Amino acid sequence: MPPRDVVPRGALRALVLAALADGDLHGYALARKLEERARGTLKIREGSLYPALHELELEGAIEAAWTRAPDGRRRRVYSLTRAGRRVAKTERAEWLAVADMLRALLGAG
Amino acid sequence: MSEELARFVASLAIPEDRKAVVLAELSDHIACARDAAAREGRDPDAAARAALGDLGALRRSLEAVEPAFRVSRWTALARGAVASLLIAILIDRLGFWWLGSVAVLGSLAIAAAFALPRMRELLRAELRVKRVPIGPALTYLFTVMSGPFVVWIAMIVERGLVQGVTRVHTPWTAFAVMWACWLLLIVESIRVRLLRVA
Repeated sequence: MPPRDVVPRGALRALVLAALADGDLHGYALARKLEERARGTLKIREGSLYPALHELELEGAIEAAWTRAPDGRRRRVYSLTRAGRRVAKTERAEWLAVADMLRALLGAG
Repeated sequence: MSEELARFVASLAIPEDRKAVVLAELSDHIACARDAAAREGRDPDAAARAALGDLGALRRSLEAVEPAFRVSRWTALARGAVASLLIAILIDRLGFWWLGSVAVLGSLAIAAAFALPRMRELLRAELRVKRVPIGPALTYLFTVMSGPFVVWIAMIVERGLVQGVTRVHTPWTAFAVMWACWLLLIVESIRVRLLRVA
């Protein structure tokens, strides 16, 4: 089965927050980390990743800092804020509950 | 590729300062994809092109999000203050017309016209995150709720002191925007809470 490039509405922000909970990342590294975690079942679309990151930044859940890549180009690295850690926890619990519910409902059929 | 990217970012309908951020971020993204492809023995140019994905989708989502960065609390306060002034004048002049329907519709239209871009999304975001200082959406709502009353108090004082008018008639329409704002706040707060505990 080819990797999915669409995740349920709102799930991408939970995935981003969960990935950033492990450490600060720039956009490309974040996308690859999520794809690695998904073991080939997910392809992150840049068209949704950066807007999602910017939306979380607007909400105050994450913050961005400018750094330099090894070759000197400018790079934005994202990290969770204190408020973002709480949001990450909440969203993780919510999506795991949804996943459990769907597994129970669909698996029961 | 970098020229194509620069042209794409320049054509986006987003604030100028955000274009610099988006360009730097996408340039880094492409460079990373190119480096990774070179390391893995793939075609770097093809990888760089593929890394950008669907430019149409990227444009739509960036143009939906980025304008909100233009909004600060001060911008929200200024917009709320102008809306409050117009609402106060409208209600003062037409508060009793047509059983108040003109004033209600007019004041709600003013409040909506001066509202921030992506106001509901911003409000939900502000309500969702606990212990975050009042953001632009709440700043606008509280300003537009309380601002007209400040203007009316000033009008009452001015009419009392300068014109000698000591009787005040308060139309029920004076509370329309306040009720609407509270309703919006209650509905969105419940919605955020329900989504949190669902």
